[in-house]
Amino acid sequence: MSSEEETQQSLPYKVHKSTLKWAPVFNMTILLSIAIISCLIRVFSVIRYESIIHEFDPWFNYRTTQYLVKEGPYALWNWYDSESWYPLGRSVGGTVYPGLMMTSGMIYWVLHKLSIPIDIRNVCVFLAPIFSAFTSLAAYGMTKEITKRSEAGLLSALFVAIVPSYMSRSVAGSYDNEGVSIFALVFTFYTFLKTVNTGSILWGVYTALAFFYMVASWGGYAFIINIIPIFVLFLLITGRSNSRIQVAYNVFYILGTLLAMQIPFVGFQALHSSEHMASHAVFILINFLNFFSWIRNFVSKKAIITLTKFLIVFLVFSILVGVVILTLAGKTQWSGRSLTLLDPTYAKKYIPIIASVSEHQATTWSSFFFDLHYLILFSPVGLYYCYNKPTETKIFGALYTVLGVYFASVMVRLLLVLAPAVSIMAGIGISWAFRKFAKSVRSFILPKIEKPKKYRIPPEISIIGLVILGYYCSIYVLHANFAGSEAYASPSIILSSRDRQGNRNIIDDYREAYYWLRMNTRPDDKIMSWWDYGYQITGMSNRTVLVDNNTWNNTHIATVGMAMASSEEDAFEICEKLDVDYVLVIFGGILNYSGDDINKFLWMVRIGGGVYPHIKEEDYYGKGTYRVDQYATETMTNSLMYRLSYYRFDEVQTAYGQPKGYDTVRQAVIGVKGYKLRHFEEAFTSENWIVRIFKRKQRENRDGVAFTSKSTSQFTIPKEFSPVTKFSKKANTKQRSTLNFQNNE
Amino acid sequence: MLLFIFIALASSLRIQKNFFISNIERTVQLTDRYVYIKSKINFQNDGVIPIEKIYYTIHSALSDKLYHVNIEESNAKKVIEDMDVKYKQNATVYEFTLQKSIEPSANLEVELNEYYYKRFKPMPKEIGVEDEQLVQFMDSVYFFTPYFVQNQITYYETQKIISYTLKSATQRNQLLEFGPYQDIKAYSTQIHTIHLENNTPMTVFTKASKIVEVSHWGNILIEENYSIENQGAKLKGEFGRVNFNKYNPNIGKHSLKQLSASLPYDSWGVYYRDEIGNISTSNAAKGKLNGENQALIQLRPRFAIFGGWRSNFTLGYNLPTKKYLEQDGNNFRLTLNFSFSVKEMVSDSYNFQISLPEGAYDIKVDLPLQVERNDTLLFSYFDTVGRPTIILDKTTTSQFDNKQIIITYKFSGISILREPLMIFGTFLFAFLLIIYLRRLDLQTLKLKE
Repeated sequence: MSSEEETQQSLPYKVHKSTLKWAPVFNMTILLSIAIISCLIRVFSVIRYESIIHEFDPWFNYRTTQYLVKEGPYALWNWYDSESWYPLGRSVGGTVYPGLMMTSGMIYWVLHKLSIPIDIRNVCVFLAPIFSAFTSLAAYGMTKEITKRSEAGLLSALFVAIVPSYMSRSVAGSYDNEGVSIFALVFTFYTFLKTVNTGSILWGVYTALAFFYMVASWGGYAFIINIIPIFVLFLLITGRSNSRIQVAYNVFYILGTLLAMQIPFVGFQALHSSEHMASHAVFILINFLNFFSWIRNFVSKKAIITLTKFLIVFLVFSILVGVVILTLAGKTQWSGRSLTLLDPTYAKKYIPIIASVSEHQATTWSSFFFDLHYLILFSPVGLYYCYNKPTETKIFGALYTVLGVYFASVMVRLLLVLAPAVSIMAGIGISWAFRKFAKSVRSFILPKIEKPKKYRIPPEISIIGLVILGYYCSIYVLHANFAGSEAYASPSIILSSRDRQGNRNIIDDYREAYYWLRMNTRPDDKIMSWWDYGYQITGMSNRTVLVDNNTWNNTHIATVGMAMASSEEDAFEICEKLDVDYVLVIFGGILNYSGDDINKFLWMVRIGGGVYPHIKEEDYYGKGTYRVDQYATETMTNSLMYRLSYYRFDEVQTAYGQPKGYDTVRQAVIGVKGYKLRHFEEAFTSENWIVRIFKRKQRENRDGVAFTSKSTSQFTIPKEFSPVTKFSKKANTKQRSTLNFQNNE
Repeated sequence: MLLFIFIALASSLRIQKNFFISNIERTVQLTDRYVYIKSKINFQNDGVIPIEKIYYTIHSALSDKLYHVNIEESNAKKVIEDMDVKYKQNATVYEFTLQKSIEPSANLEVELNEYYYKRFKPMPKEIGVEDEQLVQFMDSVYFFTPYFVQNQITYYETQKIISYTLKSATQRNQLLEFGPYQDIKAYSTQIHTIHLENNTPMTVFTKASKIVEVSHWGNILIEENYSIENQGAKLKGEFGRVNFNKYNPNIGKHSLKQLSASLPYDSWGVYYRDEIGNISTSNAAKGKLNGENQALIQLRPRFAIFGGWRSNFTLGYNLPTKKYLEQDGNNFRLTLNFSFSVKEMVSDSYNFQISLPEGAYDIKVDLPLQVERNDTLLFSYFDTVGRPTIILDKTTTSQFDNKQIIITYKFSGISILREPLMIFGTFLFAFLLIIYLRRLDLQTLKLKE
């Protein structure tokens, strides 16, 4: 027996050999466990609370899904919802991304066909966790396409599976578009990279289909339709373009655009909206260059130079002229949100309704760190690796990360788009470092197997490095676990508190009041509230609302804002014109719940004032600040919002050592006490006063004759906001692009 | 002769001469949500035949408000059709068979219990949160009976009396005393009303249902659905959370703040929810009630239910089959309580639905009550031919209808394995298909790499 054979028989070698043999099994097992973990970590919300739809937008998606399941897809297509935006209504079929609802509808139908009569609510609640498992699988695939290495893929899959930013939008019950579309995003990138690597038309078709699913489910598809052209352009400029890229892009662009047009909400926007312009331009460019290089084979060198000059000038000129003409003619337009992305101060200046939403604010460092944690430290390592020896796919990964960082910095909400990129980069970086360390350790233990190399990290340092990296990774895992179980588990319609003994108390005021509305008002009663609660009221109370989280009509929202900001008499007139039966306000003064309507009131004033100039923000500032105490202005204390929120509040003691009527949120004693309401009466107030519902009284006998409001008759509605233009085609596209904003929370 | 037969057929209610009520003492409780009348009746048999059956008549104006009636000394009750009483007196007749017959020239004291609901009429019809609820109670001065009554005395127990129409009555604080009255003819009525205070919430279940699914894998799933309505005085004016708060239990006594239910001791996985999710205000404890081991549940509705308000909720729980399902070879015997588990409430209509496992046959239901029965099939998890389902419907239902119903059926032991085998087979097939497809080489043209 030779010495070499002897070493082959020794234990470390045996272990090494069998590990290599079993590696694919390990790979699959680990991947499967990651998928399961990504599901389980999102179920904390159900365990800690219950199987319920969370927050605001998910309630609309849930309601639409219920409608879809009950009435079928064609009915959804044509659904004109009269329960929202009273008296206008909303054409849901044409103003919704149906991907999410269709997905859960399909799951529901398939399961029912297999005689598993699962409740649609449970399908909706658990959809996002299931899709997060798919996302981690897609991230594995994408990383493998970038690096061709399974271990990087596994780490990326793990990081994506538990990244808090993604988790915040995909816990069980968070039934929102993002839940499925992040999967669609990563999967589209995976298939695209696969196409880039193989040059296969079949994979290109898959890319287009994945992109179609993305378009069907989220407005964020604009990110894909821009980043892929940018990537292709980058390759063209750096001279890395080849036939595989051409195949990938052409198949993706042609099929993708055609498929995107099939979604009624997108339709012809896929051709003329500004978000798609880059894709058109790159399509023209790449094919033009192809054509040009083909022509080059047939003409002389001298002619080529002239031709090149001519063609370049022609191309640049025509594109410029085209864009200018389209923009001037109003054929192409940037939506408010896209403009906000390009110019972060845009919304603040021009569109208060976009600026009022907290998830459209610029991202702070704290939320960057909370949502991505150590990944923001790890991902530069991956970026370095990608730039070190660039290939097409590595360039794509790096580009995706860099662009993602920009968008995520502009809007908190877009951290979600960055999260997979950062996870993948971090996975690549960490696995690269691991590999370097592991190699040195392996060469120390198994000197025969590893090829000798000039320089290698000493094994002692490698072990220390491994321990430190492992420690940081586990800290990240613990943080993600905390985020999943505590920070992002709350459904926000159920609050919980702990008393001195440490018992957990559920504060269920929202549902208490919403259910009261559902059971004890007439089915056709109209509820006026700020738009944040619109979806919840239609979802949980099954009653008609004036405005909701689909902020498609700024004027209507401004009218509600004006009603809230007007005096009781004026508000009564407005409410009567709008057929309002109940007014619902959220009030946190007793429970120190800061997300209440008094704190949002300035936005109502701003948005209302944007359309009705007689409402001025300054009128609501007492002594230069926004306040509710004795220095509050008369306009403020007379406003309907103030009157309803603080109605009879001065009769209760809220805090020790403070007089009655002490507002715990504003930390001030309210300025006006002992007033009575003339036109409204308290119909219901939840146990902790969080939801207060007021009924509009009938006009008293002869009241209308004796009383005419001065200020309501004085104001004039500006022409551009006049209700007549609301349904004109041109105005409609404008409104469409401002659709689907999120809540104020 | 013919005429005689006709009369005999038409009138099965035969009151013997010289059989009469020598003394009746009625106590009418008007302090609770529902009206309970306890009557001590002394029957005197001066005739020659022993009396085995006594009759109770209820006027049609009250018959749908009577949710339970019984006589302590009798254990057989049935409604009989009597044309004479039905059309002349406008009343329904119950026939009670006594455990022990009344011999000639003997007497017997029996205890009659009547339970009514919906007999209070709120007056005023609308009250504020802080007001007391006043109601009107209408009754007959005389006990409505087919018998001659020698002597009658009636007591009305109330929370507080406001006024009463019969001036001859005597009032002692919260108690009204009517009578004694002598020699009252059969079917005598004289209407009187009492205006009194009653702050208990006048809640009624407008609809209740119970759905039972039996699984031979060891679990019985029970879900009860309730629609509740407060039919007391409507809430007037403002709701006023300042007055009506959790620190002040005396305000709004006429609103329903809490209900209680008792479940079997071995029930588990209890849930309490409505259409939009869990109702987080409930307590459950296992303990003893009336000497019986029970799981006691306190249910608080999402909001206190004031007059005119409505709500609904669901209470669900699981039971182990061990105790409720007996097996003898292929024969099974399921024992269940008929009524719902929320206590001290009456439901206008009640629907009871029992699904037996798929493949059960030869189903027999032993019902101690008069209910309407319909059978159907239910398709639940992995069902192919449907589970045999028995649907029982009953109007006015209360805790008194909580009798055991026994369902016997046959079920072969192999049927229990059908669904697991089906799932197993499906997965096996799927895996085999995948293995086959993986090994299939569909590439017709080998390209050079």
